[in-house]
This record gives sequence, structure tokens and C-alpha cells, in this order.
Amino acid sequence: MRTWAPPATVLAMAGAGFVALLWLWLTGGGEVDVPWAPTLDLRLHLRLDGLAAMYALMATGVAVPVFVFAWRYLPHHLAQQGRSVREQPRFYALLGMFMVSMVGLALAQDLILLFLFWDLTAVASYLLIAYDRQDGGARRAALMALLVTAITAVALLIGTLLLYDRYATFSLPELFRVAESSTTVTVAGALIALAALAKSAQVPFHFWLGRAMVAPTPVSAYLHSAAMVAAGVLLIGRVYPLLELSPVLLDALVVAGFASMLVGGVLALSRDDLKQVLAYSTFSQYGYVVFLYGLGGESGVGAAAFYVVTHAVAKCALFLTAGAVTRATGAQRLSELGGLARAMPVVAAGSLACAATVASLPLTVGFFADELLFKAALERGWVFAAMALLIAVLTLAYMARFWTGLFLGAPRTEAGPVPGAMVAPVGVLGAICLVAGLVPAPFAAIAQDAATPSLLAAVPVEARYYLDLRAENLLALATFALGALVHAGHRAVPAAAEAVARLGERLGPERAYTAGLAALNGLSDRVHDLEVRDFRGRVTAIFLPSGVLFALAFVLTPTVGAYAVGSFSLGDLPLVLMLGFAACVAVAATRPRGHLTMVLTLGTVGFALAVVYALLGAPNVALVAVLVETIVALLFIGVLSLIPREVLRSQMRATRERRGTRFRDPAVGLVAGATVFVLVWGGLSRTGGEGDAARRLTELAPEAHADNVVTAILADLRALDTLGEITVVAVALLGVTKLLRRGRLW
Amino acid sequence: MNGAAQGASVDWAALSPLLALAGGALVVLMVGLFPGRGVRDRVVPGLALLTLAVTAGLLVWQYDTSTDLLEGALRVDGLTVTLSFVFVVAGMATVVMTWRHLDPVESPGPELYTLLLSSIGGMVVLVAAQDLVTLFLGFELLSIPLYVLCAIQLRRRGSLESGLKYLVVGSVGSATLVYGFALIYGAAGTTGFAGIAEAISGDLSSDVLLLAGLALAIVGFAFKASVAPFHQWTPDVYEGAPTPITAFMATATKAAALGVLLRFLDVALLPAAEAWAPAVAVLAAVTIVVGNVGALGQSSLKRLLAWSGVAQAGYLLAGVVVGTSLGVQATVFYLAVYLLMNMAAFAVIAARERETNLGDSVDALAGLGTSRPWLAWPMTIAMLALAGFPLTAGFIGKFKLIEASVASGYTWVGLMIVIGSMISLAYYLKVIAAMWMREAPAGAAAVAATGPRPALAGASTEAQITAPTRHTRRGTGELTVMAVLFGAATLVVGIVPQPLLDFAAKAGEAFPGLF
Repeated sequence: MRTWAPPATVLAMAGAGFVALLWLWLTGGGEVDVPWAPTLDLRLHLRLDGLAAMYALMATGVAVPVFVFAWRYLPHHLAQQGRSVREQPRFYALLGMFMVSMVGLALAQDLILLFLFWDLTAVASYLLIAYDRQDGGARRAALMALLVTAITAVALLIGTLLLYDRYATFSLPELFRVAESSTTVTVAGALIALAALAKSAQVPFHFWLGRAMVAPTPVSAYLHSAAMVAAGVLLIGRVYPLLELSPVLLDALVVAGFASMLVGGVLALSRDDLKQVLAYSTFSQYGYVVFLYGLGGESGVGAAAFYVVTHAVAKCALFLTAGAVTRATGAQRLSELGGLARAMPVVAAGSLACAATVASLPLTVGFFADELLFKAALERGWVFAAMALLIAVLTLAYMARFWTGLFLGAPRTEAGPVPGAMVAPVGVLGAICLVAGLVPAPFAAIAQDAATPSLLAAVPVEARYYLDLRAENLLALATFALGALVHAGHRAVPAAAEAVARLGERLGPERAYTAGLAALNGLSDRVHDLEVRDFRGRVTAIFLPSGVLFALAFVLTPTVGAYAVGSFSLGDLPLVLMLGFAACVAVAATRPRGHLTMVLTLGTVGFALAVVYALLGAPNVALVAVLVETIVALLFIGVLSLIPREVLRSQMRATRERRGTRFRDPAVGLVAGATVFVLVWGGLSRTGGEGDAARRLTELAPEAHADNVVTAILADLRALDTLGEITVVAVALLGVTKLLRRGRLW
Repeated sequence: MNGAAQGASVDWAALSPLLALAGGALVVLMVGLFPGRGVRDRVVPGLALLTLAVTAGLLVWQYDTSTDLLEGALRVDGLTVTLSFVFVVAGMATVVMTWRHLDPVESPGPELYTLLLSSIGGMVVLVAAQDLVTLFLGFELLSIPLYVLCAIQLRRRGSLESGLKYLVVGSVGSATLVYGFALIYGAAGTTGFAGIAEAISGDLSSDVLLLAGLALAIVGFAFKASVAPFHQWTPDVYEGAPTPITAFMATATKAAALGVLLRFLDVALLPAAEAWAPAVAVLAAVTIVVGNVGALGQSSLKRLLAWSGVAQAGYLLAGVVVGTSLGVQATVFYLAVYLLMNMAAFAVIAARERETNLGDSVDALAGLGTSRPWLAWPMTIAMLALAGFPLTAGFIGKFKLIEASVASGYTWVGLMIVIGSMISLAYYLKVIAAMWMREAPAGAAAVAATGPRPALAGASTEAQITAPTRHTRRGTGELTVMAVLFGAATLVVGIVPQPLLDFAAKAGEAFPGLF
């Protein structure tokens, strides 16, 4: 296969998909709704509404520059690691798969379908993050990303099932129609929001995102700007009508969002690795979106949508910048880089526009995003506005640190040439940020449309410059001033941030994750240890749970009148004596001197019981018992004669000397004996019942031309069962013959 | 049971699948007596396959039957027919896998196929039984051939050990079961399921004899279905038995054990449901946790699948616990799906056992993605399906089980299934990662083509046996085809589940008493 074919294919897919989706969106959307598995109420329900359009357009639109970048990036990446170019198609196939599942996720209107695409994106991201498969760190990071997102995806599924249990539908439009505020909805909403927060790497699930930065740069640029992480907030936007029903959930979103913004901002200030800075910035920026959804209302939801789309464009370009810079210099740490503006002017200019967008400077589209944020926050109160201000300042500071650190100052490393295909995407995306800064209408239009399904009503999203001293503008000005101050005092600030980050590592949720995995592995080892213990011990261990189940039977039955004490007549004396004898022999059997003695005492118990049967008036049973006892005793003796005498002796000695069994075994025996005694007592105390059945059988015996009931049962009433039993014996014989004949070598 | 002494009429048509199996077993045994390698290597397996195909055909013919047979001892209905299909397909797959699997010197000969067919016959009897005596017969007819089949590689110590352990533990299970039946008979005064149900709805629902009998019977079944904490034999036996037999045990035996539990608990003991349902639910939860945790640390694939099978038994129990028609359908559906997923996985394991000298270790799969994609893909699909990933049959199956639990107020059991699947990701992914992300260990492949495998401890004759030239020509073509077929089926059912759902609904119709 030609090396250009795979990237060209996915590129064409992305481009065509983008155009098609755009056209569909502009012409009013589309809908597919077909039954999938009617028995399960599953439907394939996809609809291109505003929200779907925004995320689908992002997934395909951002894919184009990323794929162009990857075209030149990947061969170099593989060559560096000494891998074959034949591994290229896999990369593009996975990216394509990711893109398709992301579009599917955006379009899905059915919770199960949503879950399906959700897991597909998780698998694709797992494979993409672990693309450098020889790297153990990459594999671990991929597993972490997968476990965190897939395990929390389970919460989504549980929430779905709770809703289904209550409203008997998986369809979201249907649910929005029927759901009302209730505990079920709150719990289900919380579970779904949990899955969303984990996917968007919000506190406390943020640790996977930083680790996932070991992935190749195009993967980070795509997954962690516009796609994978966006899926979380997409879900929040999608189920927002359900979340809105419980104010407590929205408050929780505010808290989670704020915590994420803060932690992300601080961590982004403290990191040295380029992609790490961007990863934490992403995490902080999605915190904004969650925060805005939490604030709610028209301005909150509208601003959230606007934020997502501007961030996707800008952050993707910044990731690509990091990739291009690393390609040019070979370095990937801020401390090793600097003064690249002269060597890489296009990248510097493009990324400046994008960094300014993230930092919300005027003349970029990001400015409106912050304006909308301040507006929404102010509507809720000055506390929220102060929160927003704090975060905006942090964002400005770390973005300034990132960009100035890369491009200004004295050059520290040689910059080699970078292919045009890796530079152009940054430039184009930067240009988009700038043009949209002047003409924000398209961005506003798509955000407006995207907010509609979340609020189930049309939402105005206005992005304009107001040249007056309204509160939003004042806050923005304050941001710029404070941000500049923080950046100016940058020597002290990163040190403080570093300390906080270190503390987080020490106590953070990543530790809980590691500890959880370790505990699970430890438990598995424990089970393994149990499993390889001696076989005899294991067979005995089985009796314990059986005993528990058995004892439950007593717990569940009433005791009043269940145990009757009957009368005793002299005629019963032989019976009682015989039973007493059997019991004595049984006790004797527990104190063995040798194997043969043991067999004989056990046999005696059996014969004594046979006598009991005979005394009870069941000579047939007694005969059978005698026969069985004799055969078993003979078999035992036969086997014993085959085993060398020394082996038997040492076994006996070992049994006698074994510690720990001296009290345990008699205790177990006593408990078991007592239980059976109670059971038999209870059984004998019953009135009626079995007598009728026995009488009926006895009456039937002559009719079956048999002298006694046992013959009648075997040969007539249950003749077919006897036939079956003969078959079983025949099969057993066949098996035994086979084993015996083949056991010898000839 | 009514003791009518007149000649009873027998519905031969409904009985025909069972008769075909029994007749086939005899024919296979007799034909195997003819001398000649060709007979042993080709004709006998062919006849076994033919028997199973005929049985399948008869089952299709009897698809809509719903009738009592042999004085009410057996019942051929939706449950019997659907599960019999599962047994027959599992049997066919086992025949294909066994065909070239064992060393020619200890060539299995006709007895293996006879035993296999009798075991399948036992399973059909078991799920059709509606009388305690018949049920126990089926139970023994299913078990005894399996004890022998596990030990059939007589010169491998592991195989013998496996057979012996299975025999010991299985006998304990059977003894418990029969003791339980005796107590139930003592309490209810009859062995027929309908009679027992009638007696219980009278005044027996809290009778100590009945409940004690029930507890023992559940323990007996739990052994066979490898439900924790009665599962301990499973990893050892699965690992030691020849791989095709393990595959058969994992799929068909599990289906039979769950099938009989469905009929036993949901027909005979339904009136006592409030006594057994909570206990079985707790067993299910324990099984899910133990199975999944136990599987985490395994490096042998057969052991891993054994533990995973324990966990899956827990999921399946959820469908039994709820005691609804939905639960029956979910269980049967999952059993069918379970067959597809496991057979794909075992075919790959068997193929790698022939191709490498690493046996069933996870290492045997390393680098399979690049070297043998036709094996790697089915295995990947099988693992994802077992983990319950969307777009595979496993997802639909688990989903249906969860739905059944939630619908009957056992939401917490549904939660356990979900949590179990979550843990299970860790070990299923380990297998997938081995195939796609690790390089093949140098020199592991192609050993089978060059010389004898290293002698196993205690089997000094091994080297002589593996030396014959025929051994080196054991191909894996049929296993690859099988793996691809079952893998594809797993995927197709995951995407278009409706036909199989209808199939499972057939089983649900067998229980008109359930809602």
C-alpha cells in the first residue's frame, strides 16, 4: 500500500464528513430512527440537532488540520522509534474509527446508543494512546485512561437503567417529556454526570489526562482538544434537561467545574513539559464549561456551548504547536526552549492567536467566550463572578508563560526545518481564531443552536464588542491587569504552584487509583493462594457454605410445634439400643489406629444401621444396605491392599500428628450431627404427608404384578428410569474400561 | 406420577432428538471397532458430526413442540429445544476441535465420541426432566462421561489429575444433590415437579425438610454450574483437561446446569421462591465477585477462562433468581451467546497449543495480531464480548440479564453484574494487549513443526509419544475457520440481536406460570 493512501483516506473522510454535516445542519438537520432490537426497546435513533451539529462539526472539522499534521509527523515519529512504516495504516484506521464514533456519539438520541458510542471512543482512545506499544509507560497510561473512563461509563449505564426502570424508555426526547423531579432522576442524573466528568477529566478524575500525554502529538491534539474530552461535556449538554430537574446536581457541577478550573490552572502553571501544560489547561478549560453548565440558565448554557467550540479550535492548534516545536528542536520542556519566534514565525503567529484565544484577549474569538462567562456568572451573583475572575487570571498567566516561554527570550536550542504540512495547520487555525474575533457570528450561531437541545428552547447567544464600562468589560480589564501582574511575578508563582502540585500528587486521586488497583491485585493473589492449597482441604472447605445454606433452612422455618416428643414403648427398646450402638461405633471410627480398622468400624456403623432398617420394618432396604456395605468394605480393603504399607503408615502418622485439627474436626462433627438430628426430629414430627404417598405405592404393587413395592417401582412404575440407570452404568463401564485399557502402554 | 399399568403411548416424534443421540452413540461405538486408521480418524468423527446434525434437524422439526413425555418424566418444550440446540452446537464444535487434537498414539478412538454423545444425551434429559429421579439420571449421564473425557489424555499427568479431581468433587456434588432430593421427596411425597409445586403451595413453603432439601439440591447444582463458593474444582479441571473437552464443559455443561436450575426452581419450587431467591441472589453476587477477582492474577488462558466462567455463572444466576419469563429468556440468550464467545476463544487457544510449545499460557498469544490476524481478531472479539462491550453479543446478553434483574426488583444484582464486568475488563484486556501490543517471544512459534515438546514432569513417555511424524503435521485450519465463524457470529448477534432474542423468547414460552 502506498504510504499516502491511509492518511488521504481519513482526510477525505473527515473533509467530506464536515461538508456533509455542515450542509445538513444548514438545511435544517436530519433524523434516522429505526428499531434495532425491539424486544429490548433498543432503537437506532440518530438526529442532527444543534448540539449534535456542533460536536460532529468539531470532530470532523478539527480532524482535518490534525490529519494533515499527522501526515508528515507520523513517518518521522515511527522512524525515530525504529518502527516500520507498515504501522501507519493502523494509526489512521484508529483515528478514523475514533472520529466516526465521536460523530455517532454526537448524533445519538438514545441512551443505550450513546453508551455504545461512548465505549467505542474509549476503546479507540485506548488503542491510540498505546500506539507506541513498545513503551510500557504508554501502555499503562492507556490502561489508566481506559479504566477511568470505562469504569465510570458503567455509572452512565446504571443511570440509564434506573431511568428505564422508572420510565420504560431509553429514548432521550421521550425521557425529557415524561421525567419529573424525583430522587430517581437525581440519582440517575448524578451517575450520568459522573461518567461525563470522568470523560472530561474533571476533578477528581483528572489524573488520567496528564498521563495520556505520552500519546503521539496528533492523538493528543485531536482527542484531548476537540473529541474525547469534549465527549464528557457533550453528554452533560445532551442530558441537561434531566440534570436541570435537580438544582443540587447543578450546584455540584459548579463545584466540580470550579475545582477543575482551579486545580488545572495551578497545575498548568507548574508544569514544564509542553504537552503537560496543555493537558492541564484543557482540563481547566473544560472546568469552565462544566462550571457554566452548573450556573445554568440561558446565558450559562449558551456560554458553555460557545466556550467548547472556541476552545477546540485554539487548543488543537496549541497541541500542534507543541508537536512542531518538538520536531524542530527535539526538546519538549519549557525550560529547554525559548526564542523560537524568529526561527518559526508562522507557528509563533498562529499559536499567539490561539494562546490569546484561550486567554480571552480582545480581537480573538476567545474574548467573547470570557465575556459570556462573566455575564453568566454575574447573573448568579458576585461570588461566582469572583470565581470566574480568579480563573481567568490564572488562564492568562499560564498561557502567557507557555507562549512567551516558547517564542520569546534568548534562543536556547537550534531549530531545524519543519515540513510545511506541520506548520500550515497551526497557521490556519490561528487565522480562524482571529477572523472569528472580528466576525464572531458563525461561532455564535452554532453555539446558539447547540444550546437549544439542552434547554429545549431557543437561546440567544450574542457575541459583540461593547465599548462601554459594563461589568463584563470591567472584569475583563481586571483580568488583563491581574494576569499581567501574575505573569510578571512569574518566578514566585510557579514555585508556589509546584508545591501545590506536589501536594496533590502525594494525596491526590491518582494515589487512590493506584492503591485500588494494588488492593485488587492483592485480593486476587489471596484467592490464588487459597486455590492452590491442598485438594482435600478444598473439598472440606466446600462443606462450610453448604452448612450455612442448610442452617438457613432452619432459620426460615417456624419452631413452634415443629418438634414433637412422642411416646416411648418397650417394643422400641431394641431399636434404641441398636441406634445407640451405631452411635458408639461412629464415635470410635473417629479415633483411628490404622486404615483397616477405620474401614471396618465404618462398615460396622453401616451394618448397625441396616439392622435398624430391619427393625423399622423395611427388610428390603436393610438387604440393600447390607449388600452395599459389604461391597464398599471389600472395595476399600482391595484398594488398601494395593497401596504399600509404609505409605499407609506414614499417612496415618501424619494425620494423627497434624496440629490444629484436634478441636476443629470434632467441633465440626458435633455441629453437623446436631443439625442433622434437629432435621430428622423435625421431619419425624410432621403429621401426615409421606404416609399417603407410601400407601399409594404399596397399593399399586399388585396391580404391577409385583410382590413388593420396591420391585414394582424398579420394574414397572419407574421402569424407564431403571432403563436410564442401566444406561448410566453402561456408560460408566465404558469409561472405566477405556481408562484401564489405555492406562497400560502397549 | 400416576401408576397407570396400561401400555403408555409414547410421543416418538418429540423423543426423536434424544433417540438420535443415543442411537448415534451406539453406532459410533460399533463402527469404531472396524480396523484401520481411516475409520478411526475420519469415519468416526464424521459419524459423530452426522449424529449431531441429525439431532439438530430433528430439533428444528420439533421446534414448536410443547408436550409431556413418558408419563410426565420429561417435557419437550421451548426450554428443552433451545438449550438442546446449544448442546448440539457445542458438541459439533468439540468434535471439530478434537479431530486432530490428541496425539495419534493415544488417539481417542470411538469411545471419546460415544462418551461425548452420551453426555449430550444426558444434558437433554437433564433440561427436559420434570421428575427428580429422571433429573438425577440426566445429571449422572452427563457427568460420568465427562469424568472420563477429562482424563482421556492418559499419559498427561494434568489430564489424569483433572479427571480424578472432577470425579471426586463431582461425586460430592451428586451425593449432595441426591440427598437433597431425598429430603424434598420426604417432604412433598412425590418426585414430579408439578406435584412438588402443588404440595408447596399447600402448606409446605416453610417446611424444614423441604427447605433443607432445597438447600442441599442448590449446593449440588451449584457444583455443576461452578457457582462460588462451590467452584474450586473449576480452574484445576479446566486447566488439566484437554482443551476441546474444557471448551465443551465450559459451554454445554454450564448451559445444562443453568437450564435445569431454571426448570427446577422456576417450576417445581416457584411457590417457595421467597425462600430460595434471596439465597440464590447472594450466591450470584458472591460468584460474580469471586470469579472476577480470581481471574485477575491468572496467566494460563484456560484458568483465566475458568475463573471468568465462574463470574459468568454469577451473571447467569441473576436470570434464575428473578423467577420471571424475562429472566428465563435472558438466561437462555446469554447461554447461547456464551457458547459463541467461549468457542471462539477456545478454538484460538487450541490452535496456539498446536502451533507453539507454550501451551495455554497468555504468552502463546503474544504478537498474534501481526502473525495470525485470523486468530487474533476472533479472540479479540471473544474477549470484548465476554467483558460485555457494546456491539458484541456479550453486551446484549448482559444487558438483557440486567434488565431482567432491574425489572423484578433485584436492581442490586444488576449492579453486581455491572461492577463485575468492570473488574473483568482488566483481565480480558490483558489478553487483548498480549495479542496486539507485545512481540512474539523469539522461537516460540513453529516449535511444533520441528520436534518434540519438552517432557512434562512425571510423564517421561511424553517425548516418545510426540516424536512420531504425524504429530508434526497437525494443522490448525479447521480451528481457524471455527474461530472466525464463532467470532463473526458473536459480532453479528451483537449488531442484529433480534433473531437470537426470538430464539430465547421461545424458551420463555415454556413457563406459562411465570409472568
